[in-house]
Amino acid sequence: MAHKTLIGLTMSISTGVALAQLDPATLRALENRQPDNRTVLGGGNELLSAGAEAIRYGRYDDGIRLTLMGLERPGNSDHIRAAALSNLCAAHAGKNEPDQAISYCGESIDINERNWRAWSNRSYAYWLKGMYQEAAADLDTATAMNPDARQVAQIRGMLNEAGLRPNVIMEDHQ
Amino acid sequence: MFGHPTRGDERMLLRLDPNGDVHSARGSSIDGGEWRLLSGWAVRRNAATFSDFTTGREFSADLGYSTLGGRWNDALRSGGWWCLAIEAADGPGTRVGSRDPEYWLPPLIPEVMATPWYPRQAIRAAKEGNAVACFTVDAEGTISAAALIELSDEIFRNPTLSALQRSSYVGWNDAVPARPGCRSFSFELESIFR
Repeated sequence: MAHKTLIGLTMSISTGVALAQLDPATLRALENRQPDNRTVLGGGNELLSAGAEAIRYGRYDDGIRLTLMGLERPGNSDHIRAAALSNLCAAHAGKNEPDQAISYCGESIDINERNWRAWSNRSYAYWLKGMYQEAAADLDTATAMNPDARQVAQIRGMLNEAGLRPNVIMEDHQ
Repeated sequence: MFGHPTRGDERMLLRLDPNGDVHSARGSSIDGGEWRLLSGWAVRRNAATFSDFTTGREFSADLGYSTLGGRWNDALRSGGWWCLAIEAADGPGTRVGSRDPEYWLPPLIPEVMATPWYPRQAIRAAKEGNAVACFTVDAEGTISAAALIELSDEIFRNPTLSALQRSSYVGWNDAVPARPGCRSFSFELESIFR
């Protein structure tokens, strides 16, 4: 649960109504729906929204599966693709799978380098691997875009713990 | 007395006379061991002030402390000072109670110098700081009545005071029951990987 608070999700990737938390039956219905079913809410976005919601509640495997399915649907804009890839990065980071996370975040940044969450998520993934200099560089980029983000501050604290050696100098005075 | 980078040992006795005069005396090996007139002392609001025209220092004592102590400053620098009252009445121009001033201020030799912990929250916030604590040391070397006279951030208060509680000095003959002391702490962070 501690990891969940450190990953940033792009939630507003659906142009329609953002879905609430889905029960397993509804999830299965979405997964089994035919690609050309015209009763869907709108393109593949509901899958991406559902994926983001699942990741948000820590159901990373469901979130990854739904997001990948949503990415396969045609018609996703670059912006939506970048957000979904950033969410995949977040999910894999949440599962402590930093290599996959770094790959997805890299793809997201290649499409849209202005998504601070992608930089922040990749920073966290680098931290998981102990690659603190890379993590710091990505975090600096995220900070420049959104200095007040809670995740940025938390990851900064973690990096400081790993990268700063404390020392106390004492001097007596007669 | 502390704060001047080159003066080193500045142990001295101070005497504040009822007539408003302030005298100081240092060890015979340093300054002849005789009382020397400084200036008059005055009380304004919650502070007592006096001056040493020889060194150019102006002293102020925060009367909110349990003992006499506070800050000094001259044209270039500032520092602190801390006192403990002793009973050795004497007149100006003579030795202090027939003894050299150094007798009343045995050197403080650390026996246990505990290091404060560096608060985790301060490391996470990359926060550095400093503290100066003054206290009383009894003849057994036990520290008591610690007061923080400088503190850059509250987060360093408990580590500093806790370290002092775990510290001690080498004792001396109990003819001198206690003496004041001060210790400064500088909390610093060094980057490992940048």
